[in-house]
Amino acid sequence: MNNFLTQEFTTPIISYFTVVLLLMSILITGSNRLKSIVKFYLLQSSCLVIITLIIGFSINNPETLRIAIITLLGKCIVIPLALNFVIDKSQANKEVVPIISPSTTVLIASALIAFVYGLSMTQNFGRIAYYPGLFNAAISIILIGLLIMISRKKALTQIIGLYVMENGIFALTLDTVFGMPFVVEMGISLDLFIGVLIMGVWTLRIKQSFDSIDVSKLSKLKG
Amino acid sequence: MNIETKNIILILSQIIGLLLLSPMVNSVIKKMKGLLQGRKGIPLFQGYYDLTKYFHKETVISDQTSWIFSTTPLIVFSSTLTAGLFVPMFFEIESIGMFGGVILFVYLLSLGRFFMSLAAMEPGSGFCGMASSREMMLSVLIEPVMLLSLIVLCLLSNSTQIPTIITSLVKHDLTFPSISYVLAIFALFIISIAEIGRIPFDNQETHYELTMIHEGMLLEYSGKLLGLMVWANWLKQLIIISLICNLIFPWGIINKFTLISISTGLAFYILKILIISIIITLGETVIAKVRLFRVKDILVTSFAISVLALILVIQELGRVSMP
Repeated sequence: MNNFLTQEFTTPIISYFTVVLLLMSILITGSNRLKSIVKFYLLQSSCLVIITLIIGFSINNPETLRIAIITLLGKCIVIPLALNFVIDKSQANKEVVPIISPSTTVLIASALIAFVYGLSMTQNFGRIAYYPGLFNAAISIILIGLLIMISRKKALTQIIGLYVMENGIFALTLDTVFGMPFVVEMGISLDLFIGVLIMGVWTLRIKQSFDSIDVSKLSKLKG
Repeated sequence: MNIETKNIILILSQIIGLLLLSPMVNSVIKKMKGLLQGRKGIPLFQGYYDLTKYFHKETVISDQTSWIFSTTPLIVFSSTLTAGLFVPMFFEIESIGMFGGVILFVYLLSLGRFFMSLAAMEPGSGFCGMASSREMMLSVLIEPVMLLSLIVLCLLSNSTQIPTIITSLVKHDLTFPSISYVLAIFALFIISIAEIGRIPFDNQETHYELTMIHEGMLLEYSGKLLGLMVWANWLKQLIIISLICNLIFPWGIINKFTLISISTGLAFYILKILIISIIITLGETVIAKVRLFRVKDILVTSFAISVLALILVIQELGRVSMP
């Protein structure tokens, strides 16, 4: 049980899923529809769950496996369902409202990936990371999540940016310390779930008082 | 038989094969699309009927045009045919790919496109001008992606020749094809659909002037010149399809010529083309054409995918060279 998932055997599989993670974050930045963004997020999270399972089995750590189950429940089931619910409830117009256009954002995202990978060729991250490819991808995904947050106008897409960023941080901890302690992970999942609740209430309230969920309209005072 | 005559025979058979097969492939795609939509579809030899019709008709050229308008069909046809020699159908030709490789291949296709949009602006028709500006917009986005994804394959196989790339893909370990190869093929596939003007990007069936891109540029052509342009377009389609199918399924390229190997090679080639055509037909039936201003988002995303493939392949090669 312990021996057949060696690092040589898992590295190519992990690298495949790592690239899917990166691809999904590129597709999220390039997509125009809110529903398809949620689908891409769901796929990204499922890849993360698979990576967690592989790493968990290969180092035989029950903690990591428990984290995988929590991630599966939280990121693959609860959060996408909640996001879809909020989209159905609040958006008349189910398209993304960008500050920078999606194609420019995609170009910036690929530049960010190139930057991170270029940096990794001069700095040897192999000392701290179990799978160097996953490490690079995780940092790129964090940066892309930040990019999504600052380049979109709707509150909903901003929170999706936060989730993408959290996926990156999750992958980073997974690669360096094999996942956070169980209690910390529980706390983070709870935070994200509270985040989706607050965001849902918030978007609906903005929608009620401003007839739109564009956050740039929040600068106006309203009684 | 010495090597010179053998090469000449191979090049001639490649040219004849491309010329004869290309109307057929287009008709097969149209036929399958018709069947999928519950129609009878066109007869399989419709392409040849169309070409004979065009070549029997009188050619009318506006007296307002210069030499560019009347020579463009020849340039487009010959440059496309030359590009076709770089892509093996099912046998290898050594001598023709001696210079240039993929870079020349991409730019031969661009040369044809450049002259086509130049000639479309010649007669001063509004729709032609609009179509040519759209074609240029697409080509600006298509060219880098095509080049980048082909360069990824070149880096993987240490060669810029398409036949060498294909044979080295066969030698690769197939249980785990390199992830950068998969990404590059993915980007190349999307961009090929755009290059041959198929549905998410352009609709070949439409004759509604406001939406057409490639067809719009041919509005002022008639007779033999129109026949050449249409044939060149079908040639380009066949060339791109054989590039894609040989890169996805790199087996079955023969270099020994016996009766058995030629017939199996041909059968395998036709099977590969059929698979790609079925994928294209399904895509055309299921997916709707996207708005012109959304096209750029799809193409830029595939650009990002090819950049990702390039980054990964550079990292992979760097790791190999650093022991």
